[in-house]
Amino acid sequence: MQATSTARPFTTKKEFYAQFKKKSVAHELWLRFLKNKTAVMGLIIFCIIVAVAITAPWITNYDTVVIKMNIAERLHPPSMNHWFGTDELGRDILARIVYGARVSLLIGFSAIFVSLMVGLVLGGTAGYYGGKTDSVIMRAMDVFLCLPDVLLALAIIAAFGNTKVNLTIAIGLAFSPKFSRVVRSAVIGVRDNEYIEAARSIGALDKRIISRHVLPNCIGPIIVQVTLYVANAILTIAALSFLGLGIQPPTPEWGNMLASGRTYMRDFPHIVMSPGLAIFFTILALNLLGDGLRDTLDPRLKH
Amino acid sequence: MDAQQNTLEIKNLTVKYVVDDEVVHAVTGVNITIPAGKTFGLVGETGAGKTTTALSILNLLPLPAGRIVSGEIFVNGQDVFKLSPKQLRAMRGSRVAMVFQDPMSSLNPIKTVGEQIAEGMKIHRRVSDKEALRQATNMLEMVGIPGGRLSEYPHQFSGGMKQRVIIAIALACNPDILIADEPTTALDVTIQAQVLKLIKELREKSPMIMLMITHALGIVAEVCDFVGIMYAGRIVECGTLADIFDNLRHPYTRGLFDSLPDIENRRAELKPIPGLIPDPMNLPPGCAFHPRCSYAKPECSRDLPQVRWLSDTHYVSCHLYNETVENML
Amino acid sequence: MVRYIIRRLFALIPVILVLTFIVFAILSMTPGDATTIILGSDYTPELGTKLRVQLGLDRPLIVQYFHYIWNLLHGDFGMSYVMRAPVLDQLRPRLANTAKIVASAMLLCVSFGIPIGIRSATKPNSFFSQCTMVFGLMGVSMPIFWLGLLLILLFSVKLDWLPSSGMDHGLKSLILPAVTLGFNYMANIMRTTRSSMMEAIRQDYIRTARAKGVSEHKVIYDHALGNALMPTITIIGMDVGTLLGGVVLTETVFSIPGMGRLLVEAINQRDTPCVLGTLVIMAICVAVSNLIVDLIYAYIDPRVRAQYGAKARKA
Repeated sequence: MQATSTARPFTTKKEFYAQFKKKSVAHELWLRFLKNKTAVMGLIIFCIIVAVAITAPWITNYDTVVIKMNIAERLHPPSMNHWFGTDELGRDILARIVYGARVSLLIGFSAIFVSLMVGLVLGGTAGYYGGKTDSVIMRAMDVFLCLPDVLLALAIIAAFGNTKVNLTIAIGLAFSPKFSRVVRSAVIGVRDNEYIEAARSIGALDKRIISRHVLPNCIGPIIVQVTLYVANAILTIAALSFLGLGIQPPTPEWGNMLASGRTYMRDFPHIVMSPGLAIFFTILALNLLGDGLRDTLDPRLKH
Repeated sequence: MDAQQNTLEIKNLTVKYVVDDEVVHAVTGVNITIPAGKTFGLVGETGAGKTTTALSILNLLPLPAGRIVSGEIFVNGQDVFKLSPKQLRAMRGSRVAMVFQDPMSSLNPIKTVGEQIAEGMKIHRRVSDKEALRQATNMLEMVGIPGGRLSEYPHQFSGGMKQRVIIAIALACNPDILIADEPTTALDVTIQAQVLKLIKELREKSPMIMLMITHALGIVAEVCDFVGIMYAGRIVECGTLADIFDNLRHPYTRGLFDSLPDIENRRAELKPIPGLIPDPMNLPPGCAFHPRCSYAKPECSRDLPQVRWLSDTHYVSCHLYNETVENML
Repeated sequence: MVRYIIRRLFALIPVILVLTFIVFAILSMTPGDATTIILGSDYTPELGTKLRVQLGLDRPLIVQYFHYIWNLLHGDFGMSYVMRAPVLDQLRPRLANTAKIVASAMLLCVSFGIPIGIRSATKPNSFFSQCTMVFGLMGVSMPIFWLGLLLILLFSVKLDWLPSSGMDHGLKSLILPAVTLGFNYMANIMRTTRSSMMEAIRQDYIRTARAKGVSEHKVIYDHALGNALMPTITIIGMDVGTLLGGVVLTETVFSIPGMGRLLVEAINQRDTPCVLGTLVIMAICVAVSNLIVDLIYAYIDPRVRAQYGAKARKA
């Protein structure tokens, strides 16, 4: 490989080698990912959803279209004016779905972010130090694992109420034990590798070893799980909202749209179709993406 | 079992693996004949095609990738590739048995060793469970493991012991042909010696044919009557033990022997064969060994060398011998 | 082996205790005064304080907790704030309904999921296998409350074959809820069985078995399946928790008077003892099912047994 013409001479060996390493590993992984058609499809669908969520304010107006009631137009089936029809209060369903994406994605990602932070700390410590620390932390997690995500989130919400922040924290905490487990196995998988021993043998400090060697190699399985858990989190939010314990109307959320539309669905089935499809496709896309990432990052599973 | 009848003949075997549109030419035009009671050593580096040859005898190539392109394998006169699935299963384990390379993973972790030895007997000899276990105990004792350990699980045995169990499984139904694929490679040196000793003892007791696959010339010297040197899927030289050890002709064979450290001359430089084994998906044209060969001539990179018989038992496949039978090395 | 079981049973107790404490602690942080809920419109500050003392709500958390556990062991789940009746009375009838749905869902999933998973693993490139993978993917992505609504639309409204709510029609009432509840679960079981079977079939000991002349049927259903069953059993057991989470949704969709619906109602009415009681029972169920999974593991896998049973001998 030739150095680019405008490159200054490399000042350290590290830089010199870095130019080869960076390009090829990430690039190679990307190419491998692209070969997986379903994964790419998942990525595309997900990007569309994210794009829709982000551009929502430009697509439609919150106050006039999403929230404002319009009884005259209630329960219209899909038409040119309203692609997905109108709901029981006359609001355009498509607009509500678009805004619903914002809520779901925002809380979903924030919640998993919370889980990730907790999981990284707990799981990383447990996995790296092993022994007593490991046992203690893992026993604690085992106890939490006995309460499935939805129920634990329910308990927290029952106690603290269902504001957006509470929801985020509740779901975040509910997924933390699972995350800790994932991080812990990833760390254990890496910890016993010889290059860790090698780093230690030249006197590197634990902190440095963890951040420079252990964590980067764990990223693979962690990213896969993040994707899959975000899907789970979004599903949980929708489920909680469906039960009336999550996002409350009139704020549009796919789950609460299904709940309020339920009463009318016998005669106006369109009202439960689109929100459900929205949830379904979001989760499907994330699952495809997660599976695709898993296949890309774990070469063993290819054949 | 009629000792005269007992033969293994591999004729012109060609096997390829197809993975994701890429073709690996694992074995090309291999011919091996082993008469009753003899042991044939198939020597070569990793990736030369030895295991593939062995698996072909049992028609056990990994599907769907492995394909037999052409050739025939005759076990006691029967063409293996023409057998029905039922006949094939009847042959496996009872007339042809195989000892695999990695003892660690070749035993089912959730069954006792007794069950695993007895399984073959129950299938091929139709004995009762009780009788099969009794015979399994005998097999264990025969390979040097106390019979009482019949009801233990594989994880309770060490590597060497596991390999003995695998040998016991292979010999359970008294096969005519035993294929041993690097049976000692995964073991410590001292255990290697024990297992080899066991193999030699067993060989002396019966007119069993043995195909010993190995990359270690020392083992060949101990156990084999005939030797075939394999490189990149072809047999480049083949003959009796004396032919190969005393009168070797092929440059690769020379390289193999030269790369053995000389214990008497500790100060001499090691002589490895330069270069690497060729990529089986991309074999060099002509003779596959020519890029690493110090005797290479222009025709080596163009044409495949023909098989040249140097005596009744000894043949070599090398352009050096196109005109003469004199040893050119 | 028996020792292992007893040890695990004993280990279960602290887990359940801690679990119930956590739930208890979380719920005790419910803002608002329990006494206002109980007394409703009869509430006055003096009555409130009196009731407080009577219920023991002024004592420290730990004391309240032990009191609760003590009562629990005597079968007393406390008094519902709203119904003014023992929580247990509300739980009992509902427990049966929930149990029926969960049991039928599990039965359905295991009896279909595992064989389909095995079949598609043995012929990984067949049409059947591809369909299985697609169905598996759809299955884990499907929100079950939506699925329930769709099934109602199809089978109740349009075709009128099955009831859309309640438990009054015997077996017929169970069908839609069981399918809804089990949808995710079955897809998961199928996928896991398929992948662990494929992994098992790749192993060297399968090659050894084939080389012995073992019939293909035995190779798959005895050698491979025995080893592949472990991850599947983990999923079956560990996901009981997810099933319980799903039961809340399923009962809501199908208006079934079960524990799930009780939980939601209790939360809405801020009836803490009820919420607590329901969650405690669910947590115990999950803990017990985890234990059962561990025991089954130990039974199947001799390596696990060796750790806890007879001492292993190394040659």
